[in-house]
Amino acid sequence: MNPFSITKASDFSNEDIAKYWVDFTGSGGKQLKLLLNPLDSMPKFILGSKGCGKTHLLRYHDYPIQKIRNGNNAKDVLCNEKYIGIYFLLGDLNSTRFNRESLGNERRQSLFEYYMELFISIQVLLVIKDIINSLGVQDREKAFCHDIKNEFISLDYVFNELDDVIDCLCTLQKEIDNEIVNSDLALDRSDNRFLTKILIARGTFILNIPLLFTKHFAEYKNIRFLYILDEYDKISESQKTYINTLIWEKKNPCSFWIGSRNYGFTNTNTYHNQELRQNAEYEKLQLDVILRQQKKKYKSFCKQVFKTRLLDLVDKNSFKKNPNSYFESFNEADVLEKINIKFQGKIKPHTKGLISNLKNIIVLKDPKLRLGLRHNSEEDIAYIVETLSVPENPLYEKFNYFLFYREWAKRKNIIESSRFVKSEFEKFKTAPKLSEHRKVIEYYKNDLLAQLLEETKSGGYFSGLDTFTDLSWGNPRIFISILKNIYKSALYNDEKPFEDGIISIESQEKGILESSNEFYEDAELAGSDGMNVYKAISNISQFLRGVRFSDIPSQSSLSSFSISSNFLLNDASKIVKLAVDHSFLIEIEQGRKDQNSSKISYLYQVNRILAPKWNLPIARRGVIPLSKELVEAIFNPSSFKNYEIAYSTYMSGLNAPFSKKSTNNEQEELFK
Amino acid sequence: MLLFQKKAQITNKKNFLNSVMDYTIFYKEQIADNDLANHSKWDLYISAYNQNNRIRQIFSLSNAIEKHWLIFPEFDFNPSEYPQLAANEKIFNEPVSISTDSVKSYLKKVDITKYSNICIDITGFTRASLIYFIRMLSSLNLKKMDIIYSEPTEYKDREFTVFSNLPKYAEPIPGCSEINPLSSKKDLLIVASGYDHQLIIKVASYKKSWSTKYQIFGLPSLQPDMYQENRFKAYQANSTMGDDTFNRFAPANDPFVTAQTIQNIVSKHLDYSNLYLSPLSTKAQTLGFILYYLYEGIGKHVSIIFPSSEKYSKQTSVGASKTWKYTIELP
Repeated sequence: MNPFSITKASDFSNEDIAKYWVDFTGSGGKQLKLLLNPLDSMPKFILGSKGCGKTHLLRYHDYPIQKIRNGNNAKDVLCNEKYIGIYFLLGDLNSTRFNRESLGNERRQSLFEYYMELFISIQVLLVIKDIINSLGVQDREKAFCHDIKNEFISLDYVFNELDDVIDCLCTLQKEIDNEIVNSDLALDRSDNRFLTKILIARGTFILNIPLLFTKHFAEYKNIRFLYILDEYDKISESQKTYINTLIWEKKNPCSFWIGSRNYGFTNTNTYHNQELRQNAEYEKLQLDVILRQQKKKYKSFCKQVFKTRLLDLVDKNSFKKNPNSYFESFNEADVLEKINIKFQGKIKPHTKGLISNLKNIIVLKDPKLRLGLRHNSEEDIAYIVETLSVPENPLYEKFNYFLFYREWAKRKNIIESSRFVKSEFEKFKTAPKLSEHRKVIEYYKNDLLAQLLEETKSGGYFSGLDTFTDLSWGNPRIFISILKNIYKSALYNDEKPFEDGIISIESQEKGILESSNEFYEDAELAGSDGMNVYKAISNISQFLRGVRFSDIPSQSSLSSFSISSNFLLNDASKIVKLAVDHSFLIEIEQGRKDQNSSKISYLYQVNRILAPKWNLPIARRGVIPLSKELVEAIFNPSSFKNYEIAYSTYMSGLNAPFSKKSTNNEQEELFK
Repeated sequence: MLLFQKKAQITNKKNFLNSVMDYTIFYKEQIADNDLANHSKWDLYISAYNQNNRIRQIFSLSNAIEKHWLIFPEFDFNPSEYPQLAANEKIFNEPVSISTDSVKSYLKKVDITKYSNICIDITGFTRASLIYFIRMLSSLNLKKMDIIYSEPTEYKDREFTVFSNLPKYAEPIPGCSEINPLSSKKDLLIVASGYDHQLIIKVASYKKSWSTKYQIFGLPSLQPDMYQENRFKAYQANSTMGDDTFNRFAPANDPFVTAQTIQNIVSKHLDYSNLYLSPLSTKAQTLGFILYYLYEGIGKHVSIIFPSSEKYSKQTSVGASKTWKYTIELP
């Protein structure tokens, strides 16, 4: 059994929600606990990307889970927690049914409001019914039902108990379903045989039923009723306005928590021609931003999540003290040794590349272009290869090549450049701090290592629990999904994950890549805009990768880019926003600072989980500023056709024979 | 237990035990070109236009007093691409943006109830328009019709064939949705999974969680290698569908066995809170889904959901292997 198979909290049973709960509070997470106090009367919008833990957090406050943690005792829930959580999904309403033109504008909004009134009332009455039965206070139920009946505009029903009320509401809801179905099928819009009579005024039941409860069960008059509405992003703008109006009109003992994807929070309008004001009528919490910012706390949170899940498979007493030790770790020396063995007697790929680059210029007739190489001189090529060679360590050889290419890009004599690099390497062996190699190692080691691993088809770059945490970047679902896929890969490789031995790097890499692809495919993008976002992400990722894997990367550990506000216009801006909304790109808050008195630049990083897909770094170090032409070619759908040319033009400055000089300046800045 | 809840459960069980509809009694036959030409005349023949030669060939061979072409907006045909018309043929190209609106607009213009003997070639329909069309015919009390379906020899680019641009979010087909207000804890999803994994992802993402999920694959497939291609593509939606999805199989060209398969699945989950059906595979299987819905889904907490696209490819298949005629009766 894969202990990480369930990655979505929505797939958990109520018992699982309680069982797998890991608290993100404490010294680092105090902020979260204070902001999410269910006794606080201030409504909250809880926003976050897919998989940030929103659902688990919201469901944790739902009444059935409150009961589980209070020994299934309703009275203890009321006494200990002093609130009742009523959680439901707005997605369960199939709310697009109310957007049909066949219903007419006014009618569809009225029907939606009425439906919501019935839907939410049913949910809260089911909870109250359970409480009444648990407390054994059925003697007051009839009077309570009588008051509920008086809230109807008009109704010809007798309510003896709550079951009668709920049955009635269900029947009324069915009438709405019938009206919608029949409007879908009617060819004649004037056919009004199925028109539903609206029997409840907007907000009456939702806001008054809790009040009636506190009236009839006065010993619990201080209990808060917390309506938790998740999937706010799934309803239309006019439907959101209705929800906002409920928040506006709320009265004690009610409050609201609204869960939504970041992109779903699009309007704060109400029916009162006023807008909800942040910190006055509501508070906004961006969960994934908090998790990303609280790095240490998030790391320990992930470790705890890992342990909690692993308890399903492994006995607590046999847990390894260091969870990283379940996983084979990357050993640089071993990998380099393996590369040497693999290429013993053969030419390594980076050397093949160098030879090919040199061959391309020795055939040139113009000696200036040959940069000191003799025409068609294979001996010169062999000399350079020999001079730069470090047979015992292919990574140091890559460092040499980097410096050599850098000199080449400056149009220096190539033979002399190779000798210069060799002398620097000799200096590095004895006095490393004085050598150019020191700076290469400091800034570019990870990139050159990544190049070497990819060229030689050696794995191991992404491995270890800490790496999984970094890759997930504040998103618990990504973290669990990585573990899930690694577990599957390990089984496929005949390993015994977590039970015996360690999980190989191969299994880890395969699982991580699977998770990366899943994240990419599951983005829930739609329509032509969705296709354009996919294309843009592919463009920017390939571009960053192209820079990283060039002969002289202009920035180190490149996974980020900046765009001047002057360049982010119209369609490109729309695509970038969508990419951020769906977490393909993460906007880095520090990016919005003045470069000079008139410019603001936006700073973005490709979501770390996509790093394995394009072999980008996880860490953020270098930032590449995109020119206007690149912004257009990468992000503007009508300019996508220019991307290949823009890409080639840019890369020509980073790859031998370096026909374009401009990008070298960025690198020289770095080396100063 | 609430009376409403009790009623729903009793209805599910009772209807199942009493009716136990046997869809395999419906008649299907493989037909050749001269069968079509020699078939007794239909009053009305309806087809949805696309650039598949076979659809046009069958349209021309079929023996009918009146013939109607439906042009759906998502295919984005220019008038210069429309077919040439014979005297008894008409084109219906409604000024709307989605195919279900096309269907409604067509049915407002044409009193279909005056035709006693109808044939519909479903090959070129979009799935959403096909479901809605049959649903509308049922609501208009049409009881019996012939359905034509042509199998392709292969899809243009095999498993990499692009059928449409990125689909929009899934939503209920008009006229095919009723919700259980009490609970979504035991929601059951049955998907006929086709080649387009993005459709499967959209459907699986329609709700945050499902109690139980089934995928129906077309086996036997239309062509021998199509099953493998289908599984390969469907796997790309696996992380959204989940490893806990059950697989079932029904012939890709048989609506009746498909409907029967759905019934068999549902019989094991009669306590579902909501049943969601989503046909994402062949038109023949889609027909099976709508048949099941009409016979066993109306008035219950059953919805057909589908993620439509803004644009569909004008031609996705190559050649024609078999052509089928299904004779269906609606409840």
